[in-house]
Amino acid sequence: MISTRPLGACALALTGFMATLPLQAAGVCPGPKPESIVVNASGGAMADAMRKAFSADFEKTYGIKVIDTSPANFGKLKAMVQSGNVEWTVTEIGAQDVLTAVEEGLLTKIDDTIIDRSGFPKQAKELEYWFAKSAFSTVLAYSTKAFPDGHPSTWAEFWDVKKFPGPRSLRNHPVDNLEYALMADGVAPDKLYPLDLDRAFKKMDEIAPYITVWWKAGQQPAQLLLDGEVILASGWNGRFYNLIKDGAPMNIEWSQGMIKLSAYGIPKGSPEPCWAQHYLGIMTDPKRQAVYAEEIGYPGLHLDSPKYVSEKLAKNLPTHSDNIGKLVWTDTVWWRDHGHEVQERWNKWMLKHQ
Amino acid sequence: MTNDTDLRLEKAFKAYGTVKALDHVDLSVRNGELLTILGPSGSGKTTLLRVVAGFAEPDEGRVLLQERDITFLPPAKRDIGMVFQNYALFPHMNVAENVSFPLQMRNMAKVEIKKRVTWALGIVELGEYAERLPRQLSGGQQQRVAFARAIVFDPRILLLDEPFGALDRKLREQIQLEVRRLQQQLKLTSLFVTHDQEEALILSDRIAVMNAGRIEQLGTPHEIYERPINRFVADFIGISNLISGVIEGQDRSVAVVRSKDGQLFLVAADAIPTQGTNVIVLIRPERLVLLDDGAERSNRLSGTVAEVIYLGQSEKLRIDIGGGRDMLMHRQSRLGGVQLEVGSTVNIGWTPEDAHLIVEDTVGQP
Amino acid sequence: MSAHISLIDRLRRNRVIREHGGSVALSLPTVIFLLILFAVPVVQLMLLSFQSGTFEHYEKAFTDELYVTVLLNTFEIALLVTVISFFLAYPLAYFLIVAQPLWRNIGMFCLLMPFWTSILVRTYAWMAILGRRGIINEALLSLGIIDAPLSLLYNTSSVLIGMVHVLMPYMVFPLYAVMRRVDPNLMQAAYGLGAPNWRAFLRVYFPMTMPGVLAGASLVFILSMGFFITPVLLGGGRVTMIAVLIEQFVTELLDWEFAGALSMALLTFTLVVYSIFKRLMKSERNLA
Repeated sequence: MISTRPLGACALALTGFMATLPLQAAGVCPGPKPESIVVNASGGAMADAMRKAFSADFEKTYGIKVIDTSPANFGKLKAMVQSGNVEWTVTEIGAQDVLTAVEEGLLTKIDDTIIDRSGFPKQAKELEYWFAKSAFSTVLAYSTKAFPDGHPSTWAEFWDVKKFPGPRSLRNHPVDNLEYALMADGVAPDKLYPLDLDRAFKKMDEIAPYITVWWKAGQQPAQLLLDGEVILASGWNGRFYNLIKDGAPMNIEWSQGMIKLSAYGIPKGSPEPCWAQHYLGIMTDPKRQAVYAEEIGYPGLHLDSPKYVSEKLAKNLPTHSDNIGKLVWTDTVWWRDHGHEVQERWNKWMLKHQ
Repeated sequence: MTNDTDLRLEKAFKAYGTVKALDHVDLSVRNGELLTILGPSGSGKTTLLRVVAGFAEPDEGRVLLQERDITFLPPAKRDIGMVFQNYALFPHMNVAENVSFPLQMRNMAKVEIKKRVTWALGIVELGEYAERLPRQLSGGQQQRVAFARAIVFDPRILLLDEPFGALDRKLREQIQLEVRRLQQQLKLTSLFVTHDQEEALILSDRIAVMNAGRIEQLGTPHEIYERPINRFVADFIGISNLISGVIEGQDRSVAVVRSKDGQLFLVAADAIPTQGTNVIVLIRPERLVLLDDGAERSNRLSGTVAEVIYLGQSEKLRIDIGGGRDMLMHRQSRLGGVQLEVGSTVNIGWTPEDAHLIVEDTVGQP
Repeated sequence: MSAHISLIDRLRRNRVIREHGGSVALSLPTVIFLLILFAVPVVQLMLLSFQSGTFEHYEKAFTDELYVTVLLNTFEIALLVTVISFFLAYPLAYFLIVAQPLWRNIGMFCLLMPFWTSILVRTYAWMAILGRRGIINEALLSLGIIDAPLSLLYNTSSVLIGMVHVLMPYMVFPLYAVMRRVDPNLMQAAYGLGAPNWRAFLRVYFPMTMPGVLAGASLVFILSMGFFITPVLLGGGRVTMIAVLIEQFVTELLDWEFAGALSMALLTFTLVVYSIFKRLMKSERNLA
């Protein structure tokens, strides 16, 4: 069924333009079938999960090899598209970059005749130029050793160094942190945007002396908790889950975590745009999304997907019904418009706290 | 020990593993003299120099410098001037800085340093080169800077370690004489190490010939050349014709020696060993004369010219005297007389006074 | 980058001296290689920084307190790394010169081994050593010397330690090469002429090894200026060096024009320092 649907859709789309039967017979896309396509993503554990959940099936279905590359780097995407020398068939794009990519016209339109997003929630269903692969959340994680009973469950409590003393870690980046600061200062989660920068940075001043590490790489916060370097850290939920599932002494507090969609897109000038659509088509399948989530802890967005996920994992997914309500959606449009200036202000602020 | 001794080694012994580099050496260097340590490489002469300079310590024995025991004194405190084989000029300092280095190390006043450097550079006639770097100087000039640097602080003695080896022949002879002149003029007690016997003969007041860690013979150049004490010294200094034989008898101060092939030779000697002693008769090539030119000598040999090397002022001849042996002869060139060619039959001869008697068993010290 | 250039350039020059004539043709691939991999990107970077047609990016880079401070920080850290590396590398290089062959080989092996390990691994190793539950803290705790773990990580000191560890070999090898060429007779001459050990060292040995000191220092300094991973990981985000900001502008903020200007500023700064080193080296070479 999965294999026939794209075939039919593509054939339908094509017959209007091309009437040559041999081409249709040769494959679902026009032109000679390529030997391989290139899927560019974050690499590491993510590449393994991608292969298991999606790429293996794509190879089996279409007889086209999938080559994995990494990392997902926006600068490189832009350079490729501008130079017209695009190596990536499909690529992951950072959550905060994707809107800029759309604005700068770096991406190809999503073909809804091939990619069926009808089972997706509203936020992910009608995206014209990109594909929401999954949702991820930047959450508060804590050491269960340091807090056997009673851990900080809001950012106000994260800020409360008297009640919960100990070294902490936050990301060396303004996104999320400024939202945390405002929530810690009493701003309601639904009244965050537009961000009151002065108020946010003032609140950041308070916590800065207690931040041992301003993390930069995604694996850092979980490792810092594991090594006992810090007792509280912000971080991406999948990275914590990776260690939690192996019994590491840490846990996730979902309240007031910031949630975003992670994005995939087809670069303008992609060497095989039609096959790119089909690759993303494979990624819409709820069962395959479940396989992916089991591997890495990031859920796909098909609303049926959680049904196919183990109970233990389901609770650790941001989209679980217990969690999604506690999370706050990041306003990516605001960040697209203000990211640059806020980043520079952040850098200056960091210098003061060296 | 006499008062005029500046440097003395007493039973100095040093071994590297099983090799005895210094085998209980006694040596005295007199005030103001230039004494040369002459020997082949590996004879221990370099070790002797290092022990004197303080770069090596003897295993046994003492080193005395002007009555003071300096055996274990660090080199910096010995007050010994030294000229190294490759001069060892400091490449990053100019001539004046090089020469002032030992004075600065003695914390001398600036004015005094300047005076002395000017004096030393004046002596070696390099006053105008004070600002030059060593590599901007010729080999001979570098040599003179090294000499100036070694004497500028008025050292107790001067050590010269093969200082002329790097110079070409003509320059070497000139500089040798210059150094000798300065050494005599300044009355510098000097210990000079070389493997070049010709250089040793030219420069030295006395020569100590070293072999296998021992001094084989100590004497004036004349004594060393004319009266070598054993086969080693005879072989090492100059070119020698050596004839082995046995004492057959004596006639007053002339010994009669029978060579192995039965010929009899007369050799003048002060002390003649008893009959039957194995001896060597040494005749220097320049003492041999050609009897065919009309000369008469009491010792004679005949042979065939095997080789002729014409040198302009003289010629060198190798004469085959049969039995697989030959004699070397130096002969002043002349116009007229007998012209020798390879293959000519010749008679050569020498007087008993032209020969020197070496007792074969004699070893060790004079 | 310019350090690599100068090394390649120097090797090439040596070869020119040795081989005379045919070397021009031989060096052609190197020249082309350098043009493609170095000259072209630099020119592109420069063009990028002037894309707006004005000096606005440079004005910002050289007047905005943020970038001036970070540039000065970078300079300060590079300088400290260079100085520390020198004081550690000099005795080490000397040890390699005087040591028995066995010890020299062991020393060389220990020095070279880090080159076969990625900087990332070495940086994480330092995290395992200096961390709150690292080797040092665990040892001090179990010995009862301290009650609570010391904060050895995530400060300027740990960044310096990590960078010195990575960069010290670049100081050791030029020193070793120069020390090998120092004529041992010169030190004997100095002693013989009345110099105590330390004065012989300061007046004779050290000046003669100066070319190696300068070569090593310029390598370490230039490489330090562009350091990225070690300050990020060992500095806990608190130690900002210019390369970190450049990366941010390229990959996150996509402000390539300003990134270009910052890179040009770093390159210019590095070249200025390098030319100072080079001038010093030249005058040293004239002496030596």
